[in-house]
Amino acid sequence: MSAAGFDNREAVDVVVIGTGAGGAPLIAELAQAGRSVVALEAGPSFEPKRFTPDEPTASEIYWLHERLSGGETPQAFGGNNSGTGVGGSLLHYGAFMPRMDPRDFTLHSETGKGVDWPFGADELMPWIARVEAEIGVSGPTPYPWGVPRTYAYAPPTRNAPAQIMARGCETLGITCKDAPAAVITAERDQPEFGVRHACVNCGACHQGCRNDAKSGVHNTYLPVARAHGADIRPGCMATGIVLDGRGRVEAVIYVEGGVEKRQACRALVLAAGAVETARLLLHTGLANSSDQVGRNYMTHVSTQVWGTFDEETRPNHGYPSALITEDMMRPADADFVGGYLMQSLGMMPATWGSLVARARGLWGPGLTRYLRHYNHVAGLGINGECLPRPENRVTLSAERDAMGLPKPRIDHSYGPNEIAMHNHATRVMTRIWEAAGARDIWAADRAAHMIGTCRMGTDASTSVVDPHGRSHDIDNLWICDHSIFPSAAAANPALTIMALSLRTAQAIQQS
Amino acid sequence: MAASEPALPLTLICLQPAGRRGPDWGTLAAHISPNPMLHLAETVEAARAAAANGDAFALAAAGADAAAAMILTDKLIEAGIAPRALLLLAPVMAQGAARPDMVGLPTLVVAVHGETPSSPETLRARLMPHLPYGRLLAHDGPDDTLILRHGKAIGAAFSEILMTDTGPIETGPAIDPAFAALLASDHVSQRTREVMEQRAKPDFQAYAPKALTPEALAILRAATLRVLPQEGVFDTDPIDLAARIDTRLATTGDGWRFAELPPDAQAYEQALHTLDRAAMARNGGPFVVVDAAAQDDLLTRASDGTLEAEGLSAAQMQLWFTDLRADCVQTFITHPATMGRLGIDSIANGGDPVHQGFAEIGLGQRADWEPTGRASLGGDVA
Ligand SMILES: Cc1cc2nc3c(=O)[nH]c(=O)nc-3n(C[C@H](O)[C@H](O)[C@H](O)COP(=O)(O)OP(=O)(O)OC[C@H]3O[C@@H](n4cnc5c(N)ncnc54)[C@H](O)[C@@H]3O)c2cc1C
Ligand code: SF4
Repeated sequence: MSAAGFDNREAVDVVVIGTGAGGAPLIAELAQAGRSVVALEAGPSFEPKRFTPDEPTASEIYWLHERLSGGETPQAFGGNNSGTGVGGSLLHYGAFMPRMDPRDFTLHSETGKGVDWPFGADELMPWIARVEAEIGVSGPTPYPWGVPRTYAYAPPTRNAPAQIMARGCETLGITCKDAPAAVITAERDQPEFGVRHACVNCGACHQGCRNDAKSGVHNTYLPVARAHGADIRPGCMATGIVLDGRGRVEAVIYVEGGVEKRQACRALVLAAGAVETARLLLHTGLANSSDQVGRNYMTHVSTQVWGTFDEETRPNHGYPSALITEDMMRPADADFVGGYLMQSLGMMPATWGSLVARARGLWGPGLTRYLRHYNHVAGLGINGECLPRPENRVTLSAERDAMGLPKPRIDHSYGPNEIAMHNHATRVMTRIWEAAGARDIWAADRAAHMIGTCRMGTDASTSVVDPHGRSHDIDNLWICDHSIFPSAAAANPALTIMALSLRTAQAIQQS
Repeated sequence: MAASEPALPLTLICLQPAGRRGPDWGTLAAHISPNPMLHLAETVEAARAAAANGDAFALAAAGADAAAAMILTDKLIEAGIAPRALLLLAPVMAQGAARPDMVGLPTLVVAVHGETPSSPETLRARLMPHLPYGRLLAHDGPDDTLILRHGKAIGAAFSEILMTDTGPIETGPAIDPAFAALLASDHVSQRTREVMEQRAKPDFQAYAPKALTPEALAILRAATLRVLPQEGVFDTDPIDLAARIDTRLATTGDGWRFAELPPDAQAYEQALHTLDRAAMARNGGPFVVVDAAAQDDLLTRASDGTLEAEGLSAAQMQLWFTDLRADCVQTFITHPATMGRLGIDSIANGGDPVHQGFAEIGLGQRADWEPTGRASLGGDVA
């Protein structure tokens, strides 16, 4: 037991399962408010200096418990989709930090498709601004889209893909700008953490940032939480939830070093991510009177387009997604609802190579030849709205993992809206790349992120949690991660998840 | 391969069960140089006893006794009394016959052309994967007159095998000097350097598979050469992608799999055998034997989702083939020798204690210390 630790047998105020984007801000808020908090994290605690740009080794920060991927658009997990460790997926996320478009909160009102959020952009805005300030976000001021804002740090240097995207967009009259990025470009000293260095354009954000230029929660909220007495326990996989006689959560069962343990608590927050939170609830059979747990699993349409250029691009150099355009959030010629954000793309070699192998379908001499062009390729990618569909869902498979838990099965199929958006984005990005002088242009059909499965809403029969993340069924059970999103929204999610986390922390304190 | 003098005197222990007609071992021994003494063992126990007397020896068997000879060899190696070499004349491997996974001993296998169970095609697919230092010699049948007609050639080939150094044969490309220097520089962290050194270690011809059967590994070796040919990048030995994929399959995995496929190692094993059965049905021979055009045709069908054969379904084969492509690329492109050839410097993104990153990151920019790569191709796309 660490100095700051709590005794397992004594009920703490709150147990939080998961220390990623959803868990960490809340852990810090509650600890600062004087609550006793235990955080259980399945993954290890990493020493950022030891992160390595070697991609196979960097899989140490990926969630590697096997998932079964089904449906017509089966999604790749592992390195493509989720992380583990103290700090969650933010250890290996791309740190692309756009704000959610206000229109995406009311997609159903606007289009008759999808669903509305139970509150609007205004409700979340103060929390968004707080997160940006507290973790450190860079970006251009002024920002050409949405509400006026100021970014605290100047954007990272544009790498070759960003320069090329600027060239292509300019030719076509598409506005583009340096992207908001959770990357600091000037040194920053944080009392509870120490010095974080400025970004050195090393390109390995997805393998873990070694100088803490990338803003995650392991270098922001979690040190604050620890300084205020939170007991963060790595290597602790939650496997069960115990209810008392009145049907309220009384304790959490978890496995640490192969030994099953129990932590008593007065409230429980699930922040294990959209697949694991749903899996835990399905496994325990809790909080599911609506039969909504696991349903409406969503992703982002994450189509990419790649091309080859005369000059060297060295796509592993620099912050990978340095440029953004929000011009496609509601394109005039759209044959779909919602919109998408576009970014320039550099990529590490094995990640790129796997994409080529899977999505381009090349093999034989053509594959070898194409790989040899690595230092001359650059990409564009999008994140776009994906409509909720109840049949896209997380269920439990018949297979068990090493812990004895059923392995999750994720069925995911694109609907017509996603396919139309993919096609639109492919056309637009191909045009930009043609305008920028690319050769050998091709598109990769892919989906990213794990969203939904425990949607929030006001109606207990169609949602799992209320608009503050509290279970409709069990009043001391809360969910605070990507699973509560009622709709996917186009924006990359981490900022919104962290903002929601601060907001839920407030609700827990008031409860 | 270094030659070494066989220790003398040498005994040729022939497994020759009583009552079963065997080859003319005496004549064969006379063709082997230096002439071995002949010892006919009627049972495995007798052969084992003969082997234990301390003299140098080689082991020989024919037909259906080959499997027993392999098992005995395996046990003798384990007991520290390895034969100098193994000779298998027209061996017949009964379906499902027990035999060791790998016999890492110089072995001469004499096949018999034609529609026989010891045809070179069958043996190449079913037996040779178990004999990483095996050599296959093929003669016309019938097998009971093999020695009579080809004794001299067989004896000569076995004499050569006896001279073979049994040390492990290393394969795989070396790292170009410029890239090796980069790896040693302060642009690479100590941990990354160690990972690269580990990965740069050579492959072994006698790699014993950890997840797959030897037959499946042989099919995978053949398939990976078609899926990701390495000519043009390496002029010498390719990286043994198949062995490295097998090693990976024996670990925890990459966090997901297609729900339509069994667990990764099983999927590979089943898919490779499905490919093999398709080769038998469509091309009349095992996958490792049919020519490159036929192999490509089979892989094209797998890729298109039209490969029909007993085993995995065409749709499953298509999914598996995407996994195979990705595994090949991942294994290939993360090898330091490949990175050196392609001029990829992602692992040189900063050392310790100073994490330099990259300073020249714009279009067409490169710092002097960054590698170019002999096999890297420019913007011209063929
Ligand atoms: C490769 C990649 C790139 C990304 N890029 C971006 C980007 O550029 N911008 C952006 O906004 N978002 C990005 N994301 C998405 C973003 O990282 C996630 O949306 C966000 O981290 C999800 O937050 P979460 O709290 O739901 O889950 P996570 O952050 O994944 O946290 C869940 C945590 O719970 C732990 N856990 C799970 N089950 C258990 C259990 N049973 N017991 C104990 N602990 C458990 C996990 O180990 C993990 O640490 C990216 C994600 C990935 C994978
Ligand atoms: S590019 Fe910048 S933010 Fe990304 S890992 Fe390197 S130093 Fe960190």
